[in-house]
Amino acid sequence: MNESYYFFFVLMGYFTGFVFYFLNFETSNRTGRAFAAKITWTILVLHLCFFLLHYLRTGEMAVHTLAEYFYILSFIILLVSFYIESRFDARFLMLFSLPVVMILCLLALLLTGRERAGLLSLDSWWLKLHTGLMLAGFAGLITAVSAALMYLIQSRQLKSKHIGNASFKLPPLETLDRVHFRALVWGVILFSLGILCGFFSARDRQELMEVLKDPKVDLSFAACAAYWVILGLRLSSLRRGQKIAGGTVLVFILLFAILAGVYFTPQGFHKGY
Amino acid sequence: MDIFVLGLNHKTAPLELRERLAIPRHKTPEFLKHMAERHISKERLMLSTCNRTEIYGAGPDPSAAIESAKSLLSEYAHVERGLFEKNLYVLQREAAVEHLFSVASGLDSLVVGETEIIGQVKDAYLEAQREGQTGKVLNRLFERSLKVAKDLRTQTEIGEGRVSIASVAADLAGKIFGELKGTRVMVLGTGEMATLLLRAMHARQTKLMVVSSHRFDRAEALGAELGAEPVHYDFYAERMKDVDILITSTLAPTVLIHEAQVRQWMKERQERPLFMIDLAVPRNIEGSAAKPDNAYLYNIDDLRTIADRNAERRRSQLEECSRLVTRQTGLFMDWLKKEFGGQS
Repeated sequence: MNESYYFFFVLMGYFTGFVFYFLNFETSNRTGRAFAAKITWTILVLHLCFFLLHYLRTGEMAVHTLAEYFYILSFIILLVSFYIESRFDARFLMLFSLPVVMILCLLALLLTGRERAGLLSLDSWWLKLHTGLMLAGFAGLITAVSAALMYLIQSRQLKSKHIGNASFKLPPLETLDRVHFRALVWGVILFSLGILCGFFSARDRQELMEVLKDPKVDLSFAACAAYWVILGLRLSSLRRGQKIAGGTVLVFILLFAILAGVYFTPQGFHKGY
Repeated sequence: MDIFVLGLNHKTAPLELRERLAIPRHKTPEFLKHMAERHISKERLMLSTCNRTEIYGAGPDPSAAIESAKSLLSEYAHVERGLFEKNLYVLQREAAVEHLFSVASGLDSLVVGETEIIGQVKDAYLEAQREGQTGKVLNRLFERSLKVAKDLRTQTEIGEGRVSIASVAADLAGKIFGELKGTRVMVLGTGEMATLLLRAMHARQTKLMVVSSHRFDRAEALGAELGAEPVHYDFYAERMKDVDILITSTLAPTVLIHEAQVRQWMKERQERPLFMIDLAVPRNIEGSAAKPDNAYLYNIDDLRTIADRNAERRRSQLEECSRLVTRQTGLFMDWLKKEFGGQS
């Protein structure tokens, strides 16, 4: 119950930060961005406090339930977004990352206390690695999606010749392409390694066949392969720009659907997790 | 202690008069010394740009100082007082402070929101300070004016968006490529507009190429002036795979660059973004050349529309800026009152 209140408070905090980012994006008031960043940072620290308190109380990391999984994922995404925003001057990346984070926090809130069946015991190193890498991979991919969305908006404005507020405020295409590409590279590599560790973990438990029959695993594998194709096209410079950015977004929608399906469809190895 | 400003600008005086009353920068110290010799106020400063000539003063008897300043200006510029007196504005106390804050912020400029004036105000202040002509009041006033100008730029959109065609094009290039340093620019034609844009790109440290068929000597001359490589028209297409920004401004009566050609270039360029700016009338680049991914095409009308919209956008910020300037004026007057009490 306490966790619910905590998740709710953090969700509201991020929502407030998002509102200020959005207002700053849409209006002429430029000071709002710094204020929005301060709010989001404060909530991020509170977010971190949850993990610390959980660790002090139980002596374990808070990644045992799907709610906690979503919660830690949202934390990593914001941390990565903050870093990239300041490192590459990718202004307003947070505006695009926060909605995803809010959805994850909302899911965490809805799932809290309702998933004892989904409890995961991180008893093997492969499983610990699998969980960590999947979290980091998702964070990278979500950051790539945020950058891709910004790229699509900016390029659309430049193509249409109607240079609006968004174009003034968003970073240049070159910056967005760089952020998108790097986040995609890290996201895909970590996600792939995460899948690989999952297979090793299943092999150790002698559950490999069962895992391979899980439609979510197969679909995740397909999504990962699709990301490798996108990355390959980008690396070979056969395609770049709008098509690559669009591809990143589309595959992520598939991935997000798989993630949601994990909980809501009552079958498969990953049922409830 | 009273503050005053007297001067004329692009709103109150024609160019011919402004030219005659302008005090060149190298003569500013001399002018300030004349002011000091005539005891024109306790503190004094001269701001002279192509659009304005203004004398700022702070002292106990502004009326006498203003009269003396008018006479000095007349004598120094060899222009009869009667010829320019009706074009002068004289502002005192809050009005003078508010005026300076507006000037420094570019609100009173010909191009609203321009930034050049900040540097000019700063230079004028430093010059007067160096000559020992400023004191506690003008030091505080001018330092505050620079702070107000900076605040207005960060808190409003008064400086957002360029209003000249060359700057708009350079800004759009920045929206695509970010830092323009090292970006490769090719210019087809050596007309006036192309030259202007070439200079704007040169200022951003791009790598330039100038292409011409009939006036290759002019391409060479421009190349020598701006450090650009002159390229003959027959060979420009071969170089396109290395070009990021293509500017066309030839007098050709028909379209020179077609969609198919751009598609081919994009393939050779491995889909790297290509920004095409067509300044020619009739157009040199086919409209559909913007269809391929990562190809961006703007013609002269597109750039003009953006420049006009930016100017409008800046004007829409004036109300908010005026509110901030008034607030800052109030704060400054409070300080002045506190420091000098009944004297103010």
